[in-house]
Amino acid sequence: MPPADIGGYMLDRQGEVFGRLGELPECWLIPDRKAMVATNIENRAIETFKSLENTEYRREFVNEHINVGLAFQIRLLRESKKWTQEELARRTGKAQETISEWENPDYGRYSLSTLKKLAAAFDVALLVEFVSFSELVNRTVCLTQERLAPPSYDNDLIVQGINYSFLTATMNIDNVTSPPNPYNIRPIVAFGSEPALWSRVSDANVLTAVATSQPR
Amino acid sequence: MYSFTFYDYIEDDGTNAITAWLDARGPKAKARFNAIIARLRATPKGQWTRPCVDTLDGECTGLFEIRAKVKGVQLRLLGFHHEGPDKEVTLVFGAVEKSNRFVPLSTCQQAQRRKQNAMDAPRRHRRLHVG
Repeated sequence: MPPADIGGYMLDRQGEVFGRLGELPECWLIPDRKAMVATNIENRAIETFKSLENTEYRREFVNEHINVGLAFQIRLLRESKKWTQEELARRTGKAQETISEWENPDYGRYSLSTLKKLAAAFDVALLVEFVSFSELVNRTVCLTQERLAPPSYDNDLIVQGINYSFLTATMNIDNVTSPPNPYNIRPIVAFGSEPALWSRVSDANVLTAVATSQPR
Repeated sequence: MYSFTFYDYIEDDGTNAITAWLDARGPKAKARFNAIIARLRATPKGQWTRPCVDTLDGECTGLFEIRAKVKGVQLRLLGFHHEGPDKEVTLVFGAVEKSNRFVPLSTCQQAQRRKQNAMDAPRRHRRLHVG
């Protein structure tokens, strides 16, 4: 099974896990383009982080990633299910015009109640959390189609019955990364998928992954 | 898997025309366009549609626009897809849309000229878009 299919994670400076490499095959795992693409992503991450030194831009960066991100996700999730705006309106008890507004980045007034209602309609999970700017930048520079329109519960890997009963793997991540960068964005490759227990061993370059989920 | 690489147009004197235009529009506009571009990178071309993107015709045939309304002003960032398997996009010109017309009025001509330059000499006229 290729690494892109079995998942993996990126680490921040302290070696904390914060991003799934499994969703980033084009970022790291295409052999002939790996070095070039990885360098591009590192450059973008570093330059984007630098741009946040301006406080006003930093505030707008957060605002617009919420406004644009939600508008894109609502539309792409709806289209992935081949629903019309009318269909989503019916499922959320709203008017079609409201759905059209929600799919426009100009809207920007989503309530938590609205987001929960949409998550239920799409049968996907919803995360609302405060994060560091480095995490936001890293999520931003390596967005994937799957992250923009995540699968609903029934199509989630775990529910598909893949046997993750007990798999462990370790590997030296220096072999699969591009040259070092100031933010130490490092991919690792591991077996399993959520829910999984991840633990650091002797140093930041080697991880052990133990997947504990059971097939349904 | 869709992963477009975005480039900015670089003038003969080395100025990044896109960064300069975005900086002049202010932090909100710059953040809005960068947030849209971040998502377009991972979005299939067939789904580059309104409200955020539109294909242009007439004098602007061969170009698309990224659309954003910021503080009541309709801002447009024009670009094009390079041919080939690498899924490369170059942003060439920034403009305002007013009464269904671009301002400046020469937007399409200037964008087409830059497109030609970027295709003829990509190493000289392109730089990776960041943000």
